[in-house]
Amino acid sequence: MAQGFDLTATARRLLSLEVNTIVRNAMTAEPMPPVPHALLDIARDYAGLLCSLGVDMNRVFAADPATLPTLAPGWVTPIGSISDRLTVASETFDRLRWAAKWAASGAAARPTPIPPPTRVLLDRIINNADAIKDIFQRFDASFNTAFLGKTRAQLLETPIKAGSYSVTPDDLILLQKMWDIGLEEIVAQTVVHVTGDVTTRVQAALRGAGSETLFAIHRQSIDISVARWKDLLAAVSEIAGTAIRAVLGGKP
Amino acid sequence: MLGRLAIVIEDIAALRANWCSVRGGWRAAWQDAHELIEHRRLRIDTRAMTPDGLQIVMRTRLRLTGDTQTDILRGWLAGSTPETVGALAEVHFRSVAAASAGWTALFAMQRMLTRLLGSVGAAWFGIAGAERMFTAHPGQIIHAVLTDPYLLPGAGVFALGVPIRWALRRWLRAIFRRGLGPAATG
Repeated sequence: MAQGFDLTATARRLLSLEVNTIVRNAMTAEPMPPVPHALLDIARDYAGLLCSLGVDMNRVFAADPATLPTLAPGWVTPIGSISDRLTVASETFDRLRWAAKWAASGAAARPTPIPPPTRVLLDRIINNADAIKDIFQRFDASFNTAFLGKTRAQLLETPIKAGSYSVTPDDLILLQKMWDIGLEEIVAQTVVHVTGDVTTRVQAALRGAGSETLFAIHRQSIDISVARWKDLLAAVSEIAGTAIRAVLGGKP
Repeated sequence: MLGRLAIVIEDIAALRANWCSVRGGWRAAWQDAHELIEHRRLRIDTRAMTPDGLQIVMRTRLRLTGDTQTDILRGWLAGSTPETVGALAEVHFRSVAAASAGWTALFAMQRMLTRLLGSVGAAWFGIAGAERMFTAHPGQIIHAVLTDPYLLPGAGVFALGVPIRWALRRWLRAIFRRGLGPAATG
């Protein structure tokens, strides 16, 4: 496990607040599993959406990685799961990324149009897959040796011991957020910048009457987030020490 | 010195403001602070009766990055009156405020204690030392200051604040580091 850690990216992210309100079909109390399993959970969700839209994921996973940017997988009758083809690898997310990119750009040629909320999810897959590919470059040798290229079935045969790998806090926080949000539709999102700029995005379906309750909940969420901003800066500064206080503009 | 006292006063004000709304006393405050540091987020769930039984219907995650995520159960939202949803949302966000007030109060208390030690020690040493400097022979000022039994406790109290602050920070970092391991990822 890492003996030191860098919270610079976390501290920088504190310069703006993101408040998301999500309406889910189900809620469980399970925490995020260890990173290799969490990565496969994220990949499974992304692949599941692409399969349900009818992207030919068998073709995507059979293709030579070098040809992915130009590959046109085509639309097929939605197939079941391709979970057994997903591995803990940057390449898996590269394939998902290009499949989502093709689906978003090839939506016009689809027999039935892709609804706007789903197009937002395709953009999320593209962005998050890119971020995860970057995270793979920062995994240490112990992680790569133990988990790289493994499927879920192979992972289940591998005992994951405490301290057996190291992931930076910033990457872990990002992965945790991706895992938490998954492919749920964000009905309202507000970003508050330290400069005072506030941006709110609202799902089109919620612009009508009857959404007042949901907006009241979103507003309360914003209030809590803004009220605790300064305290979170203090907490991060307390954990991370002098280097972060310099990033946050305080006295080191 | 005045700056230090101003920070201590600010921490006392934060402690007073937050302690009023803390749920469950210091024990709960410590658990909330521990969860925030170890799991890098604070998660507050509210349950309610739904057609499928008692379920989590609202969940708020306050992340260390400042992001806040509130999840609402679709079935409960669709099947409840706006008044019911509004009333439960009020209760839920009071719990969120209480949970976040806990760790805020705890951090303020930690800062206040260590800074107070430093300020009291510095004031003690400064006042008693000044008095000694004015009364001692100019050639013996250093000797007089270093051997004065009234000055040493002040210096000790002043010095105590630094290692306590260092030790507490090391402890917080150890909890945070433990949360990075596979055993406590979520």
